[in-house]
Amino acid sequence: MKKKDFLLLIEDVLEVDEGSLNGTEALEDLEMWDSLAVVTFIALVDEHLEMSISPEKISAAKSVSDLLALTGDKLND
Amino acid sequence: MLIIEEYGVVLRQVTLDDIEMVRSWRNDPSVSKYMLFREHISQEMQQRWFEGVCARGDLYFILNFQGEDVGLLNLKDIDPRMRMAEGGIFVVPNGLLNSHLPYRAILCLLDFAFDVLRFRRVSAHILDDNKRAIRYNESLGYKLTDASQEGGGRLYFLEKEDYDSCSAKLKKILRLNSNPLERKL
Repeated sequence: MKKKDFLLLIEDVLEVDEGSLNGTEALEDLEMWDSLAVVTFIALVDEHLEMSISPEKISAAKSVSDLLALTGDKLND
Repeated sequence: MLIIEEYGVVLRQVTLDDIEMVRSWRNDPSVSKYMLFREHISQEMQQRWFEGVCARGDLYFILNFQGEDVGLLNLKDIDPRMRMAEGGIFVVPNGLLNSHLPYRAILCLLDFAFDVLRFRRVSAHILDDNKRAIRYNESLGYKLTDASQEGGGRLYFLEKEDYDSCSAKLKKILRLNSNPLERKL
């Protein structure tokens, strides 16, 4: 899956404008980065990338880039 | 004292020894801003609140995660005839708020409400501007009613059927296994 397509999915979860995320954003600055976003991110990764990520690893992420890094080599440019 | 242990969290019924800790959490502006009552709570007020909790039979629980007390949950205004109560939760602002923890905790509480206490419905009052709480509660199956609350709150109802459907999905995502036979009470 392309990184930009996955970012669109994350934007939908976070209820931000399409194309507004570039990866550098701090999660604590995003109003809708909440417990539901954590759960939805787990489901997205499972459904679209067929991998499982522990909630603990997601909770440790500080930025959108950290979230993308959790997907390993599943995303391409 | 009632203790519920499931999904990696422990819910411990509030005792007199806990109420000053709860008061300090509750007076934190990051918590009180989402409450209908937002005034500073004194020791005397907290004491009277706890006496009321005991008198009414409200169930308030300290949320303990990995050995640390990190929040409060409740089933209050219990109506045994209608088999319903008002539910609530807050997690202290220490980095666990935006994590999987609020789901583990509320699933533990609501499983107890619906499966053990056999409630038919749980209600919630949520302030209109608390978008995160609205999202959170709707993901659990809560539905908005027409009733409004003085102070800007709205009333939501959670029916058992809706909870069963939504909680099954959440438990699957979080890989939480519920086994009532092994539930520790």
